[in-house]
Amino acid sequence: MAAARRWRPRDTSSSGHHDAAIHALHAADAAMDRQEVEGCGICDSDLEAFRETASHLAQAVAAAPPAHLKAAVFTKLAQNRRGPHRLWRIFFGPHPIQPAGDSESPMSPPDAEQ
Amino acid sequence: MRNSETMPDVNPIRPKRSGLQAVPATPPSTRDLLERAGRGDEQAFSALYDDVAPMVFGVIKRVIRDQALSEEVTQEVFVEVWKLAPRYDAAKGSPHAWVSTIAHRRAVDRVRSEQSRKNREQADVDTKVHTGPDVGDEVVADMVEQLDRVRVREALAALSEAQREAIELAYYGGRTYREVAVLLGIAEGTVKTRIRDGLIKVRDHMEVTR
Repeated sequence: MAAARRWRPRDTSSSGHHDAAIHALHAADAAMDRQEVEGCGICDSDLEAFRETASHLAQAVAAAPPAHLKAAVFTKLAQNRRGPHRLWRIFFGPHPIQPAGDSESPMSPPDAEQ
Repeated sequence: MRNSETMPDVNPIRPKRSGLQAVPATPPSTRDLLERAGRGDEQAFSALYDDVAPMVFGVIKRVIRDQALSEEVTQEVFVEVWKLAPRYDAAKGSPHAWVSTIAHRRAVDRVRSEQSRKNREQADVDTKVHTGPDVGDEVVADMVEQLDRVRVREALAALSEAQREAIELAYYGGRTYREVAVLLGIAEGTVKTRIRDGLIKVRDHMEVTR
């Protein structure tokens, strides 16, 4: 990760570039002109780097979700199964990776255990 | 020489290539799981959930501060992750950064749509800005993750009080930098500078201690 160690964001105070740190931390700020940020190589690379740092902030507060939540997630997915493999089938035919049989599919709600 | 007819296939997803020996199965990386989920692999998505759910639920709960609502938003995030997984581009960042961005964005959106700002502001009054993230009883007891958490907390503790306050309010508090400026009674440019410099410090700390 030598490249990552050399990373330094540009000084955006007078360069006309966007403040990538602000975009990385807050969705509402990012939504204002995300298109412009993503169209600028400098802002884009800074944004990626700051997002990696922001993900550390998320991981710092990791908390075990309730055991029943996984079952709820997969129940919700099963209710509106419009997963990527379905889209793939629509556009390209059978997907090379077929999900397991229904009985083993995680889309069938698992037991409430984790 | 192994007999390929009898050896178990250690990775049914990966195409078989002649001449390769089976190697002991190693846990797939989060990136691998996300990419496989993007190709419709539900088993991989299940493993991905196990991998990132604590981070997703933790950050959502920290932003929203409501258990039931946090569970609901966590469900929405994973549905979104499943749908968007085909668009994940590894060149654009790590899976954790990608997923946590979705989770954080959803949490902030929900807080705003619920118009619970008044309640949260009251909670802010009651809750002094911490020197580090809360780590409660529910924190997953995984050694590697624990070490990462410790390092982030160290990194946050190494920030100036002003930098830490700005980052906490913007990220965990879900505030825009303009709102942070109003709350702290300082110029918007100052908030930007504090957040930017603080994040650079956090990043440097994480890399030095890696």
